[in-house]
Amino acid sequence: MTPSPDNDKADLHSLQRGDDTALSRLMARWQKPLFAFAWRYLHNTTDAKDLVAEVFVRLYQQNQRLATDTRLSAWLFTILSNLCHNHHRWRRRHPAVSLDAESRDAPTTTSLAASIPQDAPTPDHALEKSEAFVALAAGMDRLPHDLKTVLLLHHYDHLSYREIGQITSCSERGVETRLYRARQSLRVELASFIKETKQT
Amino acid sequence: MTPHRDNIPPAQDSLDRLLHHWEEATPAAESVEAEVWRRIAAAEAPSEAPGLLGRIRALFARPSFSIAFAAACLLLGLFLVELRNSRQQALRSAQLAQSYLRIVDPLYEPDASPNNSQIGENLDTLLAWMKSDLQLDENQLARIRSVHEQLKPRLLDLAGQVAQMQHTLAEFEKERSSENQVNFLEFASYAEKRRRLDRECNESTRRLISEASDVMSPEQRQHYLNLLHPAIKATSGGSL
Repeated sequence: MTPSPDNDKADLHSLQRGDDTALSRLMARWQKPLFAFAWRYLHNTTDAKDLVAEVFVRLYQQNQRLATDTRLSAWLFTILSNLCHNHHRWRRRHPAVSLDAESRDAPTTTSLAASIPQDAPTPDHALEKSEAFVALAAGMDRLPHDLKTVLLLHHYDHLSYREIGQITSCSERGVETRLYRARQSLRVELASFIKETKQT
Repeated sequence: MTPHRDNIPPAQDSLDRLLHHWEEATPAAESVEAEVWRRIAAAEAPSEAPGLLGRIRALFARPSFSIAFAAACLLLGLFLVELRNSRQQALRSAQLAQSYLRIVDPLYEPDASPNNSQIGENLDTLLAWMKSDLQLDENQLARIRSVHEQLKPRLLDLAGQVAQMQHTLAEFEKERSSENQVNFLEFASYAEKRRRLDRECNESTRRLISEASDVMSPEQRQHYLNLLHPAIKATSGGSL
Protein backbone atom coordinates (compact mmCIF):
# COMPACT_ATOMS: atom_id res chain seq x y z
CA MET A 1 0.00 0.00 0.00
CA THR A 2 1.86 3.02 -1.23
CA PRO A 3 -0.64 5.80 -1.99
CA SER A 4 1.24 9.02 -2.44
CA PRO A 5 0.72 11.64 0.31
CA ASP A 6 1.12 14.31 -2.35
CA ASN A 7 -1.84 12.93 -4.28
CA ASP A 8 -3.86 12.86 -1.08
CA LYS A 9 -2.94 16.44 -0.34
CA ALA A 10 -3.86 17.58 -3.84
CA ASP A 11 -7.19 15.75 -3.75
CA LEU A 12 -8.02 17.08 -0.30
CA HIS A 13 -7.29 20.59 -1.55
CA SER A 14 -9.54 20.01 -4.58
CA LEU A 15 -12.29 18.65 -2.35
CA GLN A 16 -12.06 21.69 -0.13
CA ARG A 17 -12.48 23.89 -3.20
CA GLY A 18 -15.70 22.04 -4.08
CA ASP A 19 -14.41 19.50 -6.58
CA ASP A 20 -16.47 16.42 -5.64
CA THR A 21 -14.62 14.19 -8.07
CA ALA A 22 -11.66 14.42 -5.72
CA LEU A 23 -13.63 12.34 -3.23
CA SER A 24 -14.11 9.67 -5.89
CA ARG A 25 -10.36 9.60 -6.45
CA LEU A 26 -9.72 9.31 -2.71
CA MET A 27 -12.25 6.49 -2.46
CA ALA A 28 -10.62 4.63 -5.32
CA ARG A 29 -7.28 5.00 -3.58
CA TRP A 30 -8.24 4.22 0.00
CA GLN A 31 -11.31 2.01 0.12
CA LYS A 32 -9.35 -1.22 -0.30
CA PRO A 33 -6.91 -0.77 2.63
CA LEU A 34 -9.66 0.71 4.80
CA PHE A 35 -12.00 -2.17 4.04
CA ALA A 36 -9.26 -4.70 4.80
CA PHE A 37 -8.60 -3.04 8.16
CA ALA A 38 -12.29 -2.94 9.05
CA TRP A 39 -12.85 -6.54 7.99
CA ARG A 40 -9.94 -7.78 10.09
CA TYR A 41 -11.23 -5.77 13.01
CA LEU A 42 -14.89 -6.84 12.75
CA HIS A 43 -14.75 -10.08 10.72
CA ASN A 44 -17.90 -8.96 8.94
CA THR A 45 -18.04 -7.85 5.32
CA THR A 46 -21.28 -5.86 5.55
CA ASP A 47 -20.24 -3.99 8.66
CA ALA A 48 -16.80 -3.30 7.24
CA LYS A 49 -18.24 -1.87 4.05
CA ASP A 50 -20.74 0.17 6.02
CA LEU A 51 -18.06 1.75 8.21
CA VAL A 52 -15.74 2.48 5.30
CA ALA A 53 -18.60 4.26 3.55
CA GLU A 54 -19.20 6.24 6.75
CA VAL A 55 -15.54 7.31 6.85
CA PHE A 56 -15.80 8.81 3.36
CA VAL A 57 -19.11 10.50 4.17
CA ARG A 58 -17.44 12.14 7.17
CA LEU A 59 -14.50 13.16 5.05
CA TYR A 60 -16.90 14.86 2.64
CA GLN A 61 -18.85 16.56 5.42
CA GLN A 62 -15.83 17.64 7.47
CA ASN A 63 -13.30 18.40 4.76
CA GLN A 64 -13.48 22.14 5.40
CA ARG A 65 -12.30 21.60 8.96
CA LEU A 66 -9.16 19.76 7.90
CA ALA A 67 -5.91 21.68 7.67
CA THR A 68 -4.30 21.63 4.26
CA ASP A 69 -1.28 19.76 5.65
CA THR A 70 -3.42 17.03 7.25
CA ARG A 71 -1.97 13.56 6.81
CA LEU A 72 -5.09 12.13 5.19
CA SER A 73 -4.13 8.48 5.62
CA ALA A 74 -3.75 8.96 9.36
CA TRP A 75 -7.06 10.85 9.52
CA LEU A 76 -8.90 8.11 7.61
CA PHE A 77 -7.51 5.29 9.77
CA THR A 78 -8.16 7.26 12.96
CA ILE A 79 -11.82 7.74 12.06
CA LEU A 80 -12.18 4.15 10.91
CA SER A 81 -10.53 2.64 13.99
CA ASN A 82 -12.80 4.71 16.24
CA LEU A 83 -15.87 3.64 14.26
CA CYS A 84 -14.74 0.01 14.47
CA HIS A 85 -14.21 0.33 18.21
CA ASN A 86 -17.67 1.81 18.75
CA HIS A 87 -19.29 -0.73 16.48
CA HIS A 88 -17.51 -3.61 18.19
CA ARG A 89 -18.67 -2.44 21.62
CA TRP A 90 -22.21 -2.00 20.31
CA ARG A 91 -22.12 -5.50 18.84
CA ARG A 92 -21.03 -6.99 22.13
CA ARG A 93 -23.98 -5.32 23.85
CA HIS A 94 -26.39 -6.26 21.03
CA PRO A 95 -25.40 -9.73 19.84
CA ALA A 96 -26.80 -10.70 16.43
CA VAL A 97 -26.41 -13.58 14.02
CA SER A 98 -23.88 -12.73 11.34
CA LEU A 99 -23.40 -14.65 8.13
CA ASP A 100 -19.71 -13.79 8.13
CA ALA A 101 -19.35 -14.62 11.79
CA GLU A 102 -20.05 -18.29 11.14
CA SER A 103 -16.38 -18.76 10.53
CA ARG A 104 -15.61 -18.02 14.16
CA ASP A 105 -17.99 -20.56 15.58
CA ALA A 106 -18.12 -23.25 12.92
CA PRO A 107 -14.70 -24.04 11.56
CA THR A 108 -15.93 -26.45 8.90
CA THR A 109 -18.50 -24.20 7.18
CA THR A 110 -18.18 -23.16 3.57
CA SER A 111 -17.42 -19.53 4.43
CA LEU A 112 -14.45 -20.74 6.36
CA ALA A 113 -13.31 -22.84 3.42
CA ALA A 114 -13.11 -19.67 1.42
CA SER A 115 -10.49 -18.41 3.83
CA ILE A 116 -8.14 -21.26 3.09
CA PRO A 117 -5.17 -20.01 1.13
CA GLN A 118 -5.04 -21.32 -2.40
CA ASP A 119 -1.56 -22.68 -1.99
CA ALA A 120 -2.68 -25.13 0.68
CA PRO A 121 -0.90 -28.38 -0.06
CA THR A 122 -3.46 -30.91 1.23
CA PRO A 123 -7.07 -30.84 2.52
CA ASP A 124 -5.92 -31.86 6.00
CA HIS A 125 -3.40 -29.11 6.05
CA ALA A 126 -6.03 -26.62 4.83
CA LEU A 127 -8.41 -27.69 7.60
CA GLU A 128 -5.73 -27.18 10.21
CA LYS A 129 -5.05 -23.73 8.84
CA SER A 130 -8.70 -22.81 8.74
CA GLU A 131 -9.01 -23.79 12.38
CA ALA A 132 -5.99 -21.68 13.07
CA PHE A 133 -7.60 -18.72 11.31
CA VAL A 134 -10.73 -19.14 13.38
CA ALA A 135 -8.64 -19.18 16.53
CA LEU A 136 -6.67 -16.18 15.28
CA ALA A 137 -9.83 -14.25 14.55
CA ALA A 138 -11.20 -15.12 17.98
CA GLY A 139 -7.93 -14.15 19.66
CA MET A 140 -7.85 -10.90 17.70
CA ASP A 141 -11.43 -10.21 18.70
CA ARG A 142 -10.53 -10.54 22.37
CA LEU A 143 -7.64 -8.08 22.14
CA PRO A 144 -8.28 -4.64 23.59
CA HIS A 145 -8.93 -1.95 21.00
CA ASP A 146 -5.54 -0.23 21.44
CA LEU A 147 -3.57 -3.44 21.02
CA LYS A 148 -5.68 -4.71 18.14
CA THR A 149 -5.43 -1.43 16.21
CA VAL A 150 -1.66 -1.32 16.59
CA LEU A 151 -1.30 -4.96 15.55
CA LEU A 152 -3.49 -4.60 12.45
CA LEU A 153 -1.87 -1.37 11.29
CA HIS A 154 1.58 -2.85 11.83
CA HIS A 155 1.11 -6.27 10.29
CA TYR A 156 -1.33 -5.59 7.48
CA ASP A 157 -1.03 -1.92 6.61
CA HIS A 158 2.70 -1.94 7.19
CA LEU A 159 2.81 1.42 8.89
CA SER A 160 5.78 2.69 10.81
CA TYR A 161 5.61 3.18 14.58
CA ARG A 162 5.47 6.92 14.00
CA GLU A 163 2.49 6.66 11.67
CA ILE A 164 0.69 4.27 14.00
CA GLY A 165 1.42 6.68 16.84
CA GLN A 166 -0.29 9.47 14.89
CA ILE A 167 -3.39 7.34 14.41
CA THR A 168 -3.58 6.01 17.96
CA SER A 169 -2.35 9.21 19.65
CA CYS A 170 0.53 7.33 21.16
CA SER A 171 4.31 7.64 21.23
CA GLU A 172 6.51 5.38 19.15
CA ARG A 173 7.68 3.68 22.35
CA GLY A 174 4.04 3.18 23.31
CA VAL A 175 3.29 1.64 19.93
CA GLU A 176 6.18 -0.76 20.36
CA THR A 177 4.95 -1.77 23.79
CA ARG A 178 1.40 -2.30 22.58
CA LEU A 179 2.59 -4.35 19.66
CA TYR A 180 4.64 -6.55 21.96
CA ARG A 181 1.71 -7.06 24.32
CA ALA A 182 -0.64 -7.82 21.44
CA ARG A 183 1.70 -10.44 20.02
CA GLN A 184 2.25 -11.96 23.43
CA SER A 185 -1.47 -12.19 23.98
CA LEU A 186 -1.97 -13.88 20.60
CA ARG A 187 0.88 -16.30 21.26
CA VAL A 188 -0.87 -17.44 24.42
CA GLU A 189 -4.23 -17.71 22.66
CA LEU A 190 -2.79 -19.57 19.69
CA ALA A 191 -0.19 -21.66 21.48
CA SER A 192 -1.40 -24.98 20.10
CA PHE A 193 -1.69 -23.70 16.51
CA ILE A 194 1.70 -22.04 16.60
CA LYS A 195 3.25 -25.34 17.61
CA GLU A 196 1.50 -27.08 14.74
CA THR A 197 2.61 -24.35 12.36
CA LYS A 198 6.18 -24.83 13.56
CA GLN A 199 5.92 -28.55 12.90
CA THR A 200 4.55 -27.96 9.38
CA MET B 1 2.21 6.16 3.98
CA THR B 2 5.54 4.36 3.76
CA PRO B 3 5.88 0.61 4.31
CA HIS B 4 8.51 0.04 6.92
CA ARG B 5 9.19 -3.47 5.81
CA ASP B 6 8.37 -5.91 3.03
CA ASN B 7 5.11 -7.75 2.98
CA ILE B 8 6.83 -10.89 4.21
CA PRO B 9 9.37 -10.10 6.87
CA PRO B 10 12.68 -11.81 6.51
CA ALA B 11 12.72 -13.32 9.97
CA GLN B 12 9.25 -14.70 10.41
CA ASP B 13 8.18 -16.65 13.40
CA SER B 14 5.11 -18.91 13.53
CA LEU B 15 2.79 -16.10 14.59
CA ASP B 16 4.00 -13.89 11.76
CA ARG B 17 3.38 -16.67 9.27
CA LEU B 18 -0.12 -17.23 10.61
CA LEU B 19 -0.86 -13.51 10.46
CA HIS B 20 0.50 -13.37 6.94
CA HIS B 21 -1.66 -16.26 5.74
CA TRP B 22 -4.71 -14.62 7.33
CA GLU B 23 -4.06 -11.57 5.18
CA GLU B 24 -4.68 -13.68 2.10
CA ALA B 25 -8.06 -14.68 3.47
CA THR B 26 -9.32 -11.08 3.46
CA PRO B 27 -12.31 -10.80 1.07
CA ALA B 28 -12.05 -8.47 -1.87
CA ALA B 29 -13.24 -4.95 -1.15
CA GLU B 30 -16.47 -3.95 -2.89
CA SER B 31 -16.78 -0.37 -4.08
CA VAL B 32 -18.47 1.87 -1.55
CA GLU B 33 -18.63 4.89 -3.86
CA ALA B 34 -22.31 4.60 -4.77
CA GLU B 35 -23.27 4.12 -1.12
CA VAL B 36 -21.16 7.11 -0.06
CA TRP B 37 -22.79 9.45 -2.57
CA ARG B 38 -26.24 8.14 -1.63
CA ARG B 39 -25.61 8.90 2.05
CA ILE B 40 -24.21 12.34 1.27
CA ALA B 41 -27.30 13.15 -0.82
CA ALA B 42 -29.60 11.85 1.92
CA ALA B 43 -27.80 13.90 4.57
CA GLU B 44 -28.00 17.08 2.51
CA ALA B 45 -31.66 16.72 1.47
CA PRO B 46 -33.38 17.14 4.85
CA SER B 47 -30.85 19.67 6.03
CA GLU B 48 -33.13 22.61 5.08
CA ALA B 49 -35.64 22.26 7.92
CA PRO B 50 -33.14 21.61 10.74
CA GLY B 51 -31.08 24.47 9.33
CA LEU B 52 -33.97 26.84 9.62
CA LEU B 53 -34.87 25.54 13.06
CA GLY B 54 -31.25 25.80 14.04
CA ARG B 55 -31.11 29.41 12.95
CA ILE B 56 -34.29 30.18 14.93
CA ARG B 57 -32.89 28.44 17.98
CA ALA B 58 -29.66 30.35 17.60
CA LEU B 59 -31.58 33.63 17.42
CA PHE B 60 -33.55 32.89 20.57
CA ALA B 61 -30.41 31.75 22.34
CA ARG B 62 -29.30 35.40 22.27
CA PRO B 63 -30.77 37.12 25.36
CA SER B 64 -31.02 40.48 23.60
CA PHE B 65 -33.15 38.99 20.83
CA SER B 66 -35.35 37.05 23.29
CA ILE B 67 -36.00 40.17 25.35
CA ALA B 68 -36.69 42.26 22.25
CA PHE B 69 -39.04 39.59 20.90
CA ALA B 70 -40.94 39.35 24.20
CA ALA B 71 -41.21 43.15 24.39
CA ALA B 72 -42.44 43.31 20.79
CA CYS B 73 -45.07 40.63 21.54
CA LEU B 74 -46.20 42.55 24.64
CA LEU B 75 -46.46 45.82 22.74
CA LEU B 76 -48.32 44.12 19.90
CA GLY B 77 -50.75 42.60 22.41
CA LEU B 78 -51.34 45.97 24.08
CA PHE B 79 -51.79 47.60 20.69
CA LEU B 80 -54.36 44.99 19.64
CA VAL B 81 -56.28 45.37 22.93
CA GLU B 82 -56.24 49.15 22.55
CA LEU B 83 -57.36 48.86 18.93
CA ARG B 84 -60.23 46.58 19.94
CA ASN B 85 -61.32 48.93 22.72
CA SER B 86 -61.08 51.89 20.40
CA ARG B 87 -63.21 50.17 17.75
CA GLN B 88 -65.80 49.12 20.34
CA GLN B 89 -65.90 52.64 21.70
CA ALA B 90 -66.32 54.11 18.21
CA LEU B 91 -69.11 51.63 17.48
CA ARG B 92 -70.82 52.49 20.76
CA SER B 93 -70.51 56.21 20.01
CA ALA B 94 -72.05 55.71 16.57
CA GLN B 95 -74.96 53.77 18.13
CA LEU B 96 -75.53 56.49 20.73
CA ALA B 97 -75.33 59.18 18.06
CA GLN B 98 -77.98 57.37 16.04
CA SER B 99 -80.14 57.01 19.13
CA TYR B 100 -79.73 60.72 19.83
CA LEU B 101 -80.71 61.54 16.27
CA ARG B 102 -83.83 59.43 16.66
CA ILE B 103 -84.83 61.64 19.55
CA VAL B 104 -84.05 65.01 18.04
CA ASP B 105 -85.35 64.30 14.52
CA PRO B 106 -88.97 63.09 14.21
CA LEU B 107 -88.34 62.25 10.55
CA TYR B 108 -85.39 60.04 11.31
CA GLU B 109 -87.60 57.09 12.15
CA PRO B 110 -91.05 58.17 11.05
CA ASP B 111 -92.70 54.79 11.55
CA ALA B 112 -91.67 54.60 15.20
CA SER B 113 -94.39 55.46 17.63
CA PRO B 114 -92.75 57.62 20.27
CA ASN B 115 -93.27 56.73 23.87
CA ASN B 116 -92.80 59.37 26.54
CA SER B 117 -91.16 57.16 29.11
CA GLN B 118 -88.92 55.57 26.49
CA ILE B 119 -87.88 58.99 25.24
CA GLY B 120 -87.21 60.13 28.81
CA GLU B 121 -85.00 57.11 29.57
CA ASN B 122 -83.13 57.39 26.33
CA LEU B 123 -82.65 61.10 26.85
CA ASP B 124 -81.05 60.55 30.28
CA THR B 125 -78.75 57.93 28.87
CA LEU B 126 -77.82 60.08 25.91
CA LEU B 127 -77.23 63.19 28.01
CA ALA B 128 -74.89 61.16 30.19
CA TRP B 129 -73.04 60.05 27.06
CA MET B 130 -72.88 63.62 25.73
CA LYS B 131 -71.52 64.86 29.07
CA SER B 132 -68.77 62.26 28.96
CA ASP B 133 -67.98 62.46 25.26
CA LEU B 134 -68.18 66.25 24.92
CA GLN B 135 -66.69 66.84 28.36
CA LEU B 136 -69.58 69.09 29.38
CA ASP B 137 -69.59 70.68 32.80
CA GLU B 138 -72.60 70.53 35.07
CA ASN B 139 -73.82 73.96 34.04
CA GLN B 140 -73.67 73.15 30.34
CA LEU B 141 -75.37 69.83 30.94
CA ALA B 142 -78.17 71.51 32.85
CA ARG B 143 -78.77 74.02 30.08
CA ILE B 144 -78.66 71.36 27.36
CA ARG B 145 -81.07 69.23 29.38
CA SER B 146 -83.32 72.26 29.64
CA VAL B 147 -83.22 72.84 25.86
CA HIS B 148 -84.12 69.20 25.23
CA GLU B 149 -86.85 69.17 27.88
CA GLN B 150 -88.28 72.38 26.49
CA LEU B 151 -88.48 71.12 22.91
CA LYS B 152 -89.40 67.56 23.80
CA PRO B 153 -93.23 68.09 23.76
CA ARG B 154 -93.08 69.74 20.36
CA LEU B 155 -90.81 67.00 18.98
CA LEU B 156 -93.08 64.31 20.38
CA ASP B 157 -96.08 66.00 18.84
CA LEU B 158 -94.36 66.22 15.48
CA ALA B 159 -93.28 62.59 15.72
CA GLY B 160 -96.93 61.68 16.38
CA GLN B 161 -98.01 63.64 13.33
CA VAL B 162 -95.38 61.95 11.21
CA ALA B 163 -96.65 58.58 12.37
CA GLN B 164 -100.22 59.66 11.53
CA MET B 165 -99.11 60.78 8.08
CA GLN B 166 -97.45 57.43 7.54
CA HIS B 167 -100.70 55.75 8.46
CA THR B 168 -102.65 57.98 6.01
CA LEU B 169 -100.16 57.15 3.27
CA ALA B 170 -100.69 53.45 3.94
CA GLU B 171 -104.47 54.02 3.60
CA PHE B 172 -103.93 55.70 0.23
CA GLU B 173 -101.81 52.79 -0.91
CA LYS B 174 -104.42 50.33 0.28
CA GLU B 175 -107.12 52.17 -1.63
CA ARG B 176 -105.00 52.33 -4.76
CA SER B 177 -104.27 48.61 -4.74
CA SER B 178 -107.85 47.50 -3.94
CA GLU B 179 -109.90 49.98 -6.02
CA ASN B 180 -107.25 50.82 -8.56
CA GLN B 181 -107.93 54.51 -8.06
CA VAL B 182 -106.96 57.38 -5.72
CA ASN B 183 -108.77 60.52 -4.77
CA PHE B 184 -106.28 63.00 -6.17
CA LEU B 185 -107.70 66.00 -4.34
CA GLU B 186 -107.32 64.23 -1.01
CA PHE B 187 -103.85 63.01 -1.95
CA ALA B 188 -102.77 66.50 -3.05
CA SER B 189 -103.98 67.85 0.27
CA TYR B 190 -102.04 65.05 2.05
CA ALA B 191 -98.88 65.88 0.13
CA GLU B 192 -99.15 69.54 1.04
CA LYS B 193 -99.65 68.68 4.72
CA ARG B 194 -96.69 66.31 4.58
CA ARG B 195 -94.39 68.95 3.09
CA ARG B 196 -95.44 71.39 5.78
CA LEU B 197 -94.87 68.81 8.49
CA ASP B 198 -91.41 67.96 7.14
CA ARG B 199 -90.46 71.62 7.20
CA GLU B 200 -91.66 71.95 10.79
CA CYS B 201 -89.73 68.84 11.80
CA ASN B 202 -86.51 70.09 10.21
CA GLU B 203 -86.99 73.49 11.76
CA SER B 204 -87.55 72.03 15.23
CA THR B 205 -84.54 69.75 14.95
CA ARG B 206 -82.30 72.56 13.70
CA ARG B 207 -83.49 74.76 16.52
CA LEU B 208 -82.72 72.11 19.13
CA ILE B 209 -79.25 71.41 17.73
CA SER B 210 -78.57 75.11 17.38
CA GLU B 211 -79.66 75.94 20.93
CA ALA B 212 -77.71 72.99 22.32
CA SER B 213 -74.64 74.08 20.32
CA ASP B 214 -74.86 77.59 21.68
CA VAL B 215 -74.20 76.22 25.18
CA MET B 216 -71.00 74.57 24.03
CA SER B 217 -67.51 75.87 23.38
CA PRO B 218 -66.35 75.92 19.74
CA GLU B 219 -64.41 72.63 20.21
CA GLN B 220 -67.36 70.96 21.88
CA ARG B 221 -69.68 72.25 19.17
CA GLN B 222 -67.43 70.91 16.42
CA HIS B 223 -67.28 67.54 18.14
CA TYR B 224 -71.04 67.57 18.67
CA LEU B 225 -71.75 68.20 14.99
CA ASN B 226 -69.14 65.62 13.99
CA LEU B 227 -70.88 63.04 16.14
CA LEU B 228 -74.19 63.73 14.46
CA HIS B 229 -72.73 63.83 10.99
CA PRO B 230 -72.08 60.08 10.49
CA ALA B 231 -75.52 59.24 11.78
CA ILE B 232 -77.07 61.72 9.40
CA LYS B 233 -75.05 60.45 6.47
CA ALA B 234 -75.73 56.81 7.26
CA THR B 235 -79.44 57.31 7.15
CA SER B 236 -81.14 57.73 3.83
CA GLY B 237 -84.21 59.04 5.63
CA GLY B 238 -82.16 61.69 7.40
CA SER B 239 -83.56 65.10 6.91
CA LEU B 240 -80.81 67.33 8.25
